Amino acid sequence: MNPEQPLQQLYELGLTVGRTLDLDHETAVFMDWLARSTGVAQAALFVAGQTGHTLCLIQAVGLPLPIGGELPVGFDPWRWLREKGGVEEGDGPCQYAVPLIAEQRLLGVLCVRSRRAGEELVQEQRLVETAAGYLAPVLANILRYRTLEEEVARRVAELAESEARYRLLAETARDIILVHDMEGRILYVNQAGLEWSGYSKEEALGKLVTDFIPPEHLPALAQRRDQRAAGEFDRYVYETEFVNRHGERIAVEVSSSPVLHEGQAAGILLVARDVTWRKQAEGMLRQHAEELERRVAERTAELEERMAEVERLNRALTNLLEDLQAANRNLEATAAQLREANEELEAFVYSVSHDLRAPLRAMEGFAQALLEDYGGEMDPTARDYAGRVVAAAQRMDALIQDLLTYSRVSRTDIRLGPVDLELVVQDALRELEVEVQKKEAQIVVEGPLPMVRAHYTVLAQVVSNLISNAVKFVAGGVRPRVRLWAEERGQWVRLWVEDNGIGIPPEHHERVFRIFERLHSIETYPGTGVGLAIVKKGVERMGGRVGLESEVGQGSRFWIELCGAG
Amino acid sequence: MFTQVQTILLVEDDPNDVLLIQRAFRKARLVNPLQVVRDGEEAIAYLGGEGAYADREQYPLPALVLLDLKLPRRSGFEVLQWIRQHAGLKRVPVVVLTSSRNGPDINQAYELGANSYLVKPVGFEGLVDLLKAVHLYWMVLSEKPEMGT
Repeated sequence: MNPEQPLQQLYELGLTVGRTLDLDHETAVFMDWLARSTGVAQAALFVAGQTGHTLCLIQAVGLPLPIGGELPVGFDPWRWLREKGGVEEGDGPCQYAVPLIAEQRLLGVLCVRSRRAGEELVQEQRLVETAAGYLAPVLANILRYRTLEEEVARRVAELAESEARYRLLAETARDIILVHDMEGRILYVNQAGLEWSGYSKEEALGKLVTDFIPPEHLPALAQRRDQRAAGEFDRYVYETEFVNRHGERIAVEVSSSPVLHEGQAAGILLVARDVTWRKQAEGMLRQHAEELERRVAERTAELEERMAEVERLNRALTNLLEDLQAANRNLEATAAQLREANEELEAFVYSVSHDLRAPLRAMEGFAQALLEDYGGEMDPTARDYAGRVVAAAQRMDALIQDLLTYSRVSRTDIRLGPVDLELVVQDALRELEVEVQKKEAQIVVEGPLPMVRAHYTVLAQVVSNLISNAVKFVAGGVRPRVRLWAEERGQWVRLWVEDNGIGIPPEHHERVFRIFERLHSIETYPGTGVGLAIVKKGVERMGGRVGLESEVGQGSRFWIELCGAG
Repeated sequence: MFTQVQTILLVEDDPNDVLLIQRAFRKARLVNPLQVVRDGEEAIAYLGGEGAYADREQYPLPALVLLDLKLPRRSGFEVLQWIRQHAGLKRVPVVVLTSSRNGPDINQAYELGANSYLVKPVGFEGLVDLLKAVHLYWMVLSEKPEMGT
C-alpha cells in the first residue's frame, strides 16, 4: 500500500458515505468500502440500539452470521462473535476493535480481523480508525434523525388518537355540533345534527347555516356575525330556534365559539342543545303559574265576597247591638223610673209614718184630754163618743204600724245567713209577753230548733206574727194553747205553730195570707188583716214557703219552710 | 244654779203636739220650765242668743233639748248639726222626739250626735209615760255637762 493509496481510498469513502439518512444503506456503503479498500479478512459493525443499553450487529463482512443480533453494552464483542460461531479460535493472529464515537457518545463498535501483520497491520489499523472517524458523525446524524422521526411518528399517532377521540365525542354527542366558515357555509356537522336535519352528510355540507334558522331569528344572527367580524372572539350563549328539512322546529340553547386560525376567526363552532323539553316545561310552569294566579284570583274574589258578607253581618250585629243598647237604655230608664217610684213609695211611707200619725195623736190625745179633764161634765153618750174617737185613732195607728211593717218586709234589703231558730222564737215570745200574759196563753216550744238560712229581723217578725195569730183566734172563754216544733225535710226546715183556736175552713186557707183579708168582724177579733200577709211576704222573700192545715173547730197548724243551715 | 230648776227647750212645729206635750208635762208633774220654738231657725236663734233670745234671764240656756226632725225652714238634723259644732252648746243633751221610725233617720240622728231617739206614741198615756222616763233619765239620773265653755 503506497502512502497516497489510503488518502485516495478515504476520499472515495468521503464521496460515498453520508449521502442519505438510511442507516442500512450508509453502513452497507461503509462495509463495502472497508472490504474493498482495506482488505480485512472479517469485520462486524455493531450500532447502539435505541435504548443505548445494547449493541446491534447490523453489518458483517466475511462472517457466517445473520444480521440483527444484539449484545449488551460492555459485553466483549469478540467473545459474543465466538459464542455465536461467527469467528473461530485462532483463526488469525490479529484482531482489533474500533469504537465509533461522535458528540462524546459511543455510537457503535467496529470489530476487525486482519490477515496483515507488522507495519502493514499498523497502516491498515490507522486507515480503519480514520474511516471510522468518517462514519461516526454520519451515524450520529442518522440516529438523531431516527429519534426525531420516531418522535414525529409518536406525536402524529397521538394526534390521530386525540382527533379520533374528539371526533367520536362530536359524533356521539346528543347536542348538535357544527362548524361553519365566516360566510356561513357548513364545514362540519355531527351525527346528531344530521339525524335531526334530515339531510345526508354530503347534502348538509353544501348548505348555509342560515338555512337552518327560521327567518325571525336571522336579524339576531346577523348582529352576532357583525360582532364576530369586528373582532369579538368571545364565546356567546344564546337561545334560538332551528328548523329542519321538514320544517320542524326545536328550541335550542347555542354556545358559539370562534375557530381561530393564525389569530383570525376562520369559522364558528356551534354547540346547540335541544331545550324544547325545557321550553315546554317552562311553558307548563307558566301555564301552572297562570292557573295558580287564576285560582288565587278566584279565591280572592270568594274571600272578598265572604268579607262583604262578614261586613254585612257585622253591620247587622252592630244594628242589633244598637237595638240592644237602646233596649238597655229603655231598661235603664225603666229601672230609673222604678227607682223613682220606689223613692216615691218610701217618701209616701215616711209621710204615712210621720204626717198621718200626727193628727192621730192629736185626735187620740185631745179625746183623751176631754175624757180626763171634762169627763165629769159630759153625759154617758158624750163620754162614749169620746171613747170611740180614742179607740178609732188607736186602731188606725195599729193599721199604720202594720202597713209600715209590711212595707219594710217587702222592701228591706234581705241578706240570708245562718239564723238560730231557737233564739228567734225566744225573741218573739219576749216581745209578745204582755199579750200572752193578758190572754193567759200556754206556749210550749218543743226543742231543739235547728239553724235556718234567714234574715234575723224579718224572721223574728214572721214568728212573732204567727204566735200572735195563734193566741188571738180562740173561742170565747178558751185558754189559748200554742205548740211550736220543727222538722227537717231534706234540705228544708219546717217550723210548725199549732193552736187550739177556732180553725179555718179549707176554702179560706189561701185567703188568710192575703193583705187586708179578714174572716171575722173587727168586734169579734180585732186586727188589721195584715199580720199573715207579713208572714207570707217575709218567708217568700227569704226563699221559703208557708202553708197551713186546719179544720173548723179543730184548731190550726201553720207552717213555714226555710232552707236549713245546719 | 244648783237649786234653780233647769229649762227644757222643745223644738216642735205641730201646735197639737205642743199642747199635748205641755199637758203631758203637767200630768207627769214635771216642774221644769218648757220653752217652745216652732222651727229650726228659731231654735238656732234661741240657742245662739240672737235678738230677743239674748236675754238669758227670760230665755235661759236649756239643760235638755227635745227636738222634732221634720221642721219648717231648717230641719231638726241641721239644728242638731249646728248645736254639735257650736262651742258653747255642743255638750247639751239632745233627745230627738219625732213621729218617724224611719231607719235612715234614726241612724243619721245618732251620727249627728243625738243622745236619744224617741218616737211619739199615739196614746196620750204613752206620751206621759215617755216624758216621765226622759225626765227621770236626763234631768235626775244623768250628770250634767258644763255648759258655755
